Amino acid sequence: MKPRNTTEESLKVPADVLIDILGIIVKESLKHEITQVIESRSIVVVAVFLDNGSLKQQRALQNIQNILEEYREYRWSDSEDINWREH
Amino acid sequence: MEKECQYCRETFTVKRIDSVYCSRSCRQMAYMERKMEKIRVAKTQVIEIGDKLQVAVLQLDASPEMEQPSTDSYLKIEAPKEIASAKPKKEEENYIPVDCAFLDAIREQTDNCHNQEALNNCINIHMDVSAYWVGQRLRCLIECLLVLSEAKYAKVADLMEICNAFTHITRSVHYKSLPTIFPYTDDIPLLRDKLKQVCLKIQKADEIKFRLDKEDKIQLIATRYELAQYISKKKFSQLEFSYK
Repeated sequence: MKPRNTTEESLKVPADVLIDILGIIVKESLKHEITQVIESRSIVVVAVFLDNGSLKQQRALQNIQNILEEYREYRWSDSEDINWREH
Repeated sequence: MEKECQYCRETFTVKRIDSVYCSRSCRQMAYMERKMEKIRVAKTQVIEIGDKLQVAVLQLDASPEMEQPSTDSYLKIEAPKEIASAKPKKEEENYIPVDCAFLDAIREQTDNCHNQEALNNCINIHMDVSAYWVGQRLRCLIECLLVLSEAKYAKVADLMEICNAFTHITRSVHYKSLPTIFPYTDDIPLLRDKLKQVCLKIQKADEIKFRLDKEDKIQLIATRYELAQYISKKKFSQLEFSYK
């Protein structure tokens, strides 16, 4: 459930960077909730709730998004088909 | 499809749907900029703390009624209210970005331009058919291994099929006529042997949790990334591995 006066952001976090992302979430005391575990692709979906008006939390979220974006740049390709023959 | 590069803001045609930067140099520059920002924020914090302390010392020196303080009075000295109240505000504003160890390791691998130069030589300059043939299949098999390593379970038969595909590559005429500068010639039999060992260990099982070592995964992601700059992607089902 979304806490009051917060903005929700849903993040698809691959297992390879999960520790780093959770490290930021815990260090910055961001309210969060694990909403889904996609075992077939080793991905965890985390909902992060940012306090409205907190610049520091916005920056922490930007940091997380930069990591995910760079990971995507290296790792993922056009197709996200889990059938390896058709990937 | 066209996109705007997130570093230079130029429009470019994307090779991959998730591309963010137009070139390797822009990606590197963006990374350097993030690093510099991190250092700049850390330096600003040190300077600010230094300034506050200096102000506190000056205020104590300028205080007319203050006598030579005893050791006890030193202990009772408190930071001026202005400083105490400023602290949470600074904490709020200053955020030092955290880097990701996994990405750092991939960057280290791909920053060595040797492989990319060699690939560029083989594929773009000399238009070597063998290098392209082998490179395309290697890229495809790496994609397959990465997908299977992230799946919940992998069928042993599938791993064996990939292992056989590696064997077919090494037996092909193209592999034998690869130019000496092709950077992954030795990696192909190494990957095949590692996979073969896994397959031999778990022959009796139908499915396993197939996971790559962190180092192996970093190496594979870096290789796939390098190959992706020069070789188009094809699905396993679209490629012929046994060259006749």
